[in-house]
Amino acid sequence: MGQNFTQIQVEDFRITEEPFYLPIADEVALFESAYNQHLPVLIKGPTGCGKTRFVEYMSWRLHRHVGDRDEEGVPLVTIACHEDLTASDLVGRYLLEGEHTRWIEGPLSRAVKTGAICYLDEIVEARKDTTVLIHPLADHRRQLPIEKRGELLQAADGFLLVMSFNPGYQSVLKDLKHSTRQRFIAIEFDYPTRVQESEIIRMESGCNGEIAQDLAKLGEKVRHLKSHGLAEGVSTRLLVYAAKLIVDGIHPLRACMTSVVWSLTDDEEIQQAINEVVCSIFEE
Amino acid sequence: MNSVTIRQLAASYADELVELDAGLVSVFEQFADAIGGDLGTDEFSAWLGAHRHLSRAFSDMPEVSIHYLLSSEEILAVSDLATLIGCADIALELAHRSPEIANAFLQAAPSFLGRAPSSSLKGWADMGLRMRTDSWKSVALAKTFFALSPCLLESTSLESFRVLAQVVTELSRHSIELATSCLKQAVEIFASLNDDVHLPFLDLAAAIVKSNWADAWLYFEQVLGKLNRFQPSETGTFLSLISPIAAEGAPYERFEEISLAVSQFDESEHGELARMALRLVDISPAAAAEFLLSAPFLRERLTPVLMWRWLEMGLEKAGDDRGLEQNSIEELDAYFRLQSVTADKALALLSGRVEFEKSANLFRFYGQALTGDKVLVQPVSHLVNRGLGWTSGSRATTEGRVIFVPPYIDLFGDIEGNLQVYKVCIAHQSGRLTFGSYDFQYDVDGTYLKSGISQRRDANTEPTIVPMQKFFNQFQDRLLIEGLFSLVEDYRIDGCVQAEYPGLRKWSLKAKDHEVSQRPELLGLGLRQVFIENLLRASLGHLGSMRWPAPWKPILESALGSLAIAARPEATVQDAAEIASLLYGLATDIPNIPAHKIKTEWIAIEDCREGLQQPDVKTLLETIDIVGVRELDYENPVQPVFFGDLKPELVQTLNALRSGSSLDRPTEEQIQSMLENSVEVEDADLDSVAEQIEIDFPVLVEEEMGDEDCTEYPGSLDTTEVISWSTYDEWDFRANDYLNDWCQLGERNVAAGELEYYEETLAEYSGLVMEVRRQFELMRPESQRALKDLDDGHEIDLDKAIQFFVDKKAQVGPRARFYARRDKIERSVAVAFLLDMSGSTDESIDEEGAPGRSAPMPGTASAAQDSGKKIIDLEKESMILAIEALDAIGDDFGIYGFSGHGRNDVSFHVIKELDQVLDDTVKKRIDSITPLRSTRMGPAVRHANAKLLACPAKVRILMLISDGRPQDQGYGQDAGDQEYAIHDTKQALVESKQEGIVPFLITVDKQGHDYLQEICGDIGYEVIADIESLPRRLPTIYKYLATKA
Ligand SMILES: Nc1ncnc2c1ncn2[C@@H]1O[C@H](COP(=O)(O)OP(=O)(O)OP(=O)(O)O)[C@@H](O)[C@H]1O
Ligand SMILES: [Mg+2]
Repeated sequence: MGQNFTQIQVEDFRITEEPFYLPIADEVALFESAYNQHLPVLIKGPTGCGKTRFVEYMSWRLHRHVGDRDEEGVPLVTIACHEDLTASDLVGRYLLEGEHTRWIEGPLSRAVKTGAICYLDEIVEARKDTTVLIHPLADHRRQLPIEKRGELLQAADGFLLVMSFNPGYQSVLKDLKHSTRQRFIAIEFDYPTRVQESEIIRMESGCNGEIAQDLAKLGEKVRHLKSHGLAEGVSTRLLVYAAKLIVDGIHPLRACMTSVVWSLTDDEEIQQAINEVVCSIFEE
Repeated sequence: MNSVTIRQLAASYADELVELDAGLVSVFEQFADAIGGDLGTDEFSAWLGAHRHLSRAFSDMPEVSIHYLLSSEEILAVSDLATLIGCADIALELAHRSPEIANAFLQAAPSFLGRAPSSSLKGWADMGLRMRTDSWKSVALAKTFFALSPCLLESTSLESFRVLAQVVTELSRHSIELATSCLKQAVEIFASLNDDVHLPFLDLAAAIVKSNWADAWLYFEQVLGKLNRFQPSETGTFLSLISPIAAEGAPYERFEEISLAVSQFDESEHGELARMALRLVDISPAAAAEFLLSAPFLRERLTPVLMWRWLEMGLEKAGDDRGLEQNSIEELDAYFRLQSVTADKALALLSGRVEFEKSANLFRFYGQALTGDKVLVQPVSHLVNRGLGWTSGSRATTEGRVIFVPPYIDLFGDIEGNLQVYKVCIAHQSGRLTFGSYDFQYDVDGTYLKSGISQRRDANTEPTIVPMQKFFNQFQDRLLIEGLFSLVEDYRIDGCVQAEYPGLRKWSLKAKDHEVSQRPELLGLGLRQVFIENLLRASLGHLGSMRWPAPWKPILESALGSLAIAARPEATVQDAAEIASLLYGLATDIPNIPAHKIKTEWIAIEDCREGLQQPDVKTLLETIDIVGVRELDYENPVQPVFFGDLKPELVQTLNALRSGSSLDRPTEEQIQSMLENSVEVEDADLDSVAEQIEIDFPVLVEEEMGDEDCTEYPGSLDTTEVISWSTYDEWDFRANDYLNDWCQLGERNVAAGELEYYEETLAEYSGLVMEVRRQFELMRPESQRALKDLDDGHEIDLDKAIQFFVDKKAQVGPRARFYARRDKIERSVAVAFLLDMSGSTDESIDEEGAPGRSAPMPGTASAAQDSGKKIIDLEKESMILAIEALDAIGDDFGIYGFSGHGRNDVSFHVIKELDQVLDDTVKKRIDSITPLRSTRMGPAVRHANAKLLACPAKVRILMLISDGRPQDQGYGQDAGDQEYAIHDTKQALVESKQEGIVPFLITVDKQGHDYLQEICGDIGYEVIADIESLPRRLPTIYKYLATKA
């Protein structure tokens, strides 16, 4: 049977090729240090500013000790958090197999065991009882209790808990408990500068320098509207999308319209204003 | 006929007469000879016969026959005997009705016949006769008519004359006095008006008499003055246009208004305008009138050709020209009254004019996006009104914080183009702010040029407050250096803007083309001005439009070379200042002699080489003989529309005032002296500008009034002790900034009053209270959520159940928690009520104060109707209702009041803290709520915000209940300055929003809509005019707020 897909165990996922990541400030050094000293990391920042990319990059870049060997790269287990995510989903559960049952480990347990980086994306979305589960894992104990089996997992040396959250659009109802928050060092991400961003856009999309610069300029201008009509600035991700469309031959005005103007807001006045900014930067 | 026969005939007739009236004989004899001389025997006999007839018929009234005798000769002179005898017949007939009329007729007949054919005689007499009714006044009218007829006919045609008679007759049916006056007035009117206008004039008169007879006199009296407003040859057309309008019942004022509207047009366009209205008048006279009234407004925006188009668009919309249905006629009228969206749209489409207010938000967002920070975009009139020294109401500019743009733009014929010009304006001003036009520092090198300031000889060492001032001080001719600096700097900024926004380039070029086409004629200027004007044109990219005396080409070339440096990519404001300084050196040597006096070849300069060249200006100038030519006064060129005034010195000063700590803020005297030397403010405005700056940046005077304020108003009226003081900033909208720690707010507990008040109110409104509670209880089901993982519940969660059984098999034995249940969500809402306790709440509510009052519910006393109930009572009663309701739902709530006097004594009265339990103390305190002093809402809102934020709730609501505008001593420039207070209050509410608090305003003032709209913007508000509407509104508002958050 021709198999045209790869299937791997979560804990085995590694990033083998260097992801492109352009350091914005000292986050690489910070993360490295945190990793070496087992300090859990909280990454804050607006959407699409490179949080996920950064973790991927770090997972490729770091190395861990396995036995007495130094190993390139650390496996990366990513868990997207959502409202219905339960403790079992993270830790593991029993499954029926004929007349018997079998214990299936959850991704968190696997990461803890193998010493991977466990990246909990959008942690605020998870339910409170789920967040509490990681508390012992996120302090000096580095333990994961597996209630159903009456076991306690001690994290392997390479294990690191990383979580992300976007402080921008989380509502008052969804906030991190302080007992959770204060178990992490927080690396704050913001949008890259114009120069950095144009480099990112260029590298990610393969567009020419001029278009990259113009898009980065557009990003900067549109972000001026944040909290003056826009809830959230335009993400680097959207700018990269626009660049990709342009590279593929779409007219810049059209590309920006679809990937920036319409994606950002439904308010017609602001749409028009953004559109005017686009038209001011790109020629017809 | 011989005289003998005549005498015989006459003598025998005289004998006859004697029997009738002896007096008549002598009169007769007087005329008999004269008349007899011209007549044959038969004719003479006939004449005698006619007279006999007359005199016999009216033997008791000989006047008639006397008048006949008197007029006979004259009549014969202009007519024949037949006519004369006809006259007698008519007179006879008239005299039967009224001998007086007959006399008048006979008297006027000769002159009448001199001007009209005898065939019209009978008709004429009938006209007069028709005017007569039973009253003696009508007789007088008819007499007047006959008397004036000849005179009237002297200046008008018989036809108009007839119409006039009809009009007058018609009018006389309503009022004979009016008819008489109008008739008399007609003489003058006919004499003054062109013949061809008479009939239209009368048509309109007829229409007015028919529909609004009382206006007729106004019309007759004023028409001459009004008709002057029309172009003479079109007057008739306009009158016949207005007739159907008047016939429809339009009052006289319409005519007045229309003539005024028309007079705003150039006379050469009156004909066109009339034709446009004619197109409409058959379809709907009212629409034609509306059109004429709208015409001046339209003309400001449209050419005549486009006006036609607009008109046709209106007609098209209404469908077929004729036979319109009533409602589409109304639509049509609305269109031409400019009160329909279609009309607006059509106008916008055709005129292309873009108005700021119509797209204000778009421009604001655009300016914000380009500039960042917090920048506002406003029409420039705001700045001019602020009186800070800017006077042009039509050019864009900035004062360092706000971008100002013209109120409308119509450079081009299409909306798109004009919209783009707005963008060009905003982008340029934004460029000044972001590329550092106002960041000049003294004696700092530019990217390309070294600071040459130390070499200037004119050095002036007066103390200065801003670097720009110090720089300008180094030059003798401040006007010149300022003009040059503005020119160079705007050129530099323009370069930056072009590079930053390539998409705007195309439009910027178009705008510049337009600008150049509007520049003044070079030969009309002084030579130095020509020099600068050339540089300005070059800076607009129009090298081709420069002209310069050929022998002095090197001077201009050198200047252009220097100017070009400003366009280099990295040039800074320091470079601009250096370039200005270099140009100054060249310009001061150029005499400002009238350009047209220079007799030499003027050449165009097409290209220039960038760089610094130093021509020997003095020697060059000597190549042309200009000795003895008087110099003109120098003036800087007018800045292009989209650049506008730069005023770097003033803006730097304002910026210093805005951001400097109070220590290094310039003092009043420093500002005064800066202004005196500056050329940026016209002399005339000096004092008022200085004053305005002081008002707008009041921190300057803080020291003086600080303590004074405190000592003068120690504590407020209420006696309770202050528990704690807090300080709050206040928003000064003029400065667009906060005044630091501006207000002192003291928190006090309200003294407890009697519990009875609370209980009595409850009893009084028992029905209402139940209703409110029920409404609030209804809010609950919506706030449910599904709970999972329960030991017990209403339903089984299938996934969980399977998991459980598997676990059980695996002998992990978890608890059977696979039930789910829908449950009341744990509400976490906190609401703070903030009551206005200002003195004005002491006012009683008038009985009519409750529009749309609903019938009182059974069990409720008819509330506010008892006279003597005050606003504060309504507030208190509402509070009691709210307390009961919120108690039902279990949300946290606090009740606070505020009042105060001056910024150092804002009192904040605590009735119930958010976390306080509802006990009798609270209920007793409600009794003690009394009107105190004034209303400084801003700090009270800020304090309530702080209270809410300290509360752990997830949803926080602030309800501000007030009676009127925020007013307090010193809350604004004077008592009438409500804008300041309103802006601060608004800002405080915006802060609430930013903190995640949901603010809501309720006012019990029925006039509340006026100012609430201003205060609130997108913040919710409601005017509640009577307490009965509260049970219906409060739950809705509350539910809305609590779920929206
Ligand atoms: N510093 C960077 N270096 C390289 N690429 C970047 C960088 N920052 C952003 N990007 C680009 O932006 C895209 C989005 O980044 P990423 O997915 O990491 O965002 P995120 O912060 O995780 O967003 P979200 O919060 O929505 O998950 C990436 O795919 C990458 O193309
Ligand atoms: Mg991500």
